[in-house]
Amino acid sequence: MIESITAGYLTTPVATIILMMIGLYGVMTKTNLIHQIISINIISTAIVLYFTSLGHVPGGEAPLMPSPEAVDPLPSTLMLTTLVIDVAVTSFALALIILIMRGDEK
Amino acid sequence: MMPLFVAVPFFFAFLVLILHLFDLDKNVYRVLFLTGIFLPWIVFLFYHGQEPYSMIVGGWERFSGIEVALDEKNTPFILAQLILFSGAAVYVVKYFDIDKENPKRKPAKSIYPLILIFHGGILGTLITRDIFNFFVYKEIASISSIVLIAFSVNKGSKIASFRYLMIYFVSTFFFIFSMGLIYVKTGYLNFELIAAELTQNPVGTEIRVALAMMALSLITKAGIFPMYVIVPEAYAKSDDPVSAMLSGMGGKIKIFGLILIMGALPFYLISDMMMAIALSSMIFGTLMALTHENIKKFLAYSSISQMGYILFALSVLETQAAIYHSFIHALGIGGLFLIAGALITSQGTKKLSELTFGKNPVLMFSSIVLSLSIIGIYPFLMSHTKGLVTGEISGALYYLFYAVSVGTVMYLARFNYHLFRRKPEEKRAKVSWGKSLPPLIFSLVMIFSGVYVGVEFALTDFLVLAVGLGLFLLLQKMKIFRVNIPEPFTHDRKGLAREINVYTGIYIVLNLAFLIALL
Repeated sequence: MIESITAGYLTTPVATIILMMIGLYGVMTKTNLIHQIISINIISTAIVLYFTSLGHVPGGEAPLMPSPEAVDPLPSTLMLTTLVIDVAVTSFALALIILIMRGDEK
Repeated sequence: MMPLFVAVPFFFAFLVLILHLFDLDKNVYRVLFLTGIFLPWIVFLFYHGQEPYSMIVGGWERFSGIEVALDEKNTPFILAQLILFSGAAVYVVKYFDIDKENPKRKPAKSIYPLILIFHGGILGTLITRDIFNFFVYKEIASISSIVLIAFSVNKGSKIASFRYLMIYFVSTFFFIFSMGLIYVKTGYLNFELIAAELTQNPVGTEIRVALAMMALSLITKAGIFPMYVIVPEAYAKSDDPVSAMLSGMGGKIKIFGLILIMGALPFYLISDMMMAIALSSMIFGTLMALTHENIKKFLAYSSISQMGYILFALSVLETQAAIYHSFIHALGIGGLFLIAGALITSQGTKKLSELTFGKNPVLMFSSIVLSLSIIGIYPFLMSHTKGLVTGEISGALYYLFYAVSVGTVMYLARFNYHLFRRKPEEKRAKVSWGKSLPPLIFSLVMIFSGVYVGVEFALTDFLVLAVGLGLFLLLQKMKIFRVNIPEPFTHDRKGLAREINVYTGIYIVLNLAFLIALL
């Protein structure tokens, strides 16, 4: 039982859901804008974790050459794009917070 | 050659950014900007007549490559995008170069690359047939538009941008999660291959969850009630041409996403829930537009109402009506925002009751034509669209649809009533040709599109118009539109944080409600 739970394909959906719930809790309850950004990043981590696990093949090889036993590289590749978007969004959101805190709105 | 649709605006955005480092003559940046906006027309005209046309970029197999296409689904959207951005680009050049009243305003050469990226992102979203590619271009378009909102010098623009960013990205993660579920279940990211795979197998729990999450994510991004909160402030605080582009095509790419989903996933499972959301958005937007005094917020709420109409058409599975309505609304609301912007700049106020056309016949004509095209009477295309939708509904729903249409007539009558009235200190609205030409072109396109499709005369539309005008005049006399609706959140960072808390909560509750109904 324990072995099956600790196998990658069972633990990652559970970890994803827990991380997503933590992140959503933060966005729904925190009134500090920076805390909200951190919460968004936690949700993002959950999604990346989930997607990366989709390509997992138990005992699979690195997908350097075409092989039926290689892990699926596509989900991980897609997550590179998502990570870039996350970085852009986080940096932009932090810049906005600075402007809002500095009172540039007045 | 088809990827040039996207590559050209991105290339010119890059070029302007690089040349931004050198202090060149402003005409250099202007020419590069306009070239990047207008060149995709050549690609469009090259492929026009070959529809349906599709290709896999790089010649890969369909399951591993990225498919792009031009067909009856995306051609009206692409056409609306090209017309809207071409008109808005002319306006942008005038807006950022001539208006030097506010020294804090970003220089034009900083704005041009963002608009080009926005343009390329939207075109990419419209031509792709790959779900992940759709997501990436949607994000490119959205992030550039969110930055454009923040670049405005209007008070409250940074808060509006942050609100947009946060609520947008919470829903984005649900979209990515649902993409993952679809990939797990089907093994594909191409819409057509997903559809083929799902027709061979019964619809499982994963697909139901993915469908619910993806549809709600797109509805939230499109600013449809109850997740409308990102729209009013974002449209109101942006620079005028940015408001036109955002309201015109910003939400439409999400509608196009819903149309793609309809073709691949079992959309009929959620059509009733979609209809409930659509009706609430139509009614809410209409009521708010009837009472708002700020002209840009008025147009924002009218947009929320019209997006409800488009979703309603999708909920009755009338895709063609949704496509036509999107085309009309993109140019209609875009043109009205440009008219509002021209008046605000020339008269220095955003109050609907204080603004006037003066004696400007071009703006008067454009406003009337664009309003009638949104209301939908003969010979405008919307009349045909409404006919398609009402043909699918009956009973109370039929009468409710027309009741909301009366509301649409009332708020657009209110808009024109105030702008046509002579104000005490009557002055001719000094609007340059660069600003009044785009709305005029949009209004001519509206007339032409109705004639081109061959709209048939419908007496019901004129009855709706007459009832709406009569009710408006009656209620105007009773001064019923002067209602002050209190805002639930303060315009500071505490209020902003609370608003994000509340609307994220509403979004989660909506997701749960959809999941409970589907599982």
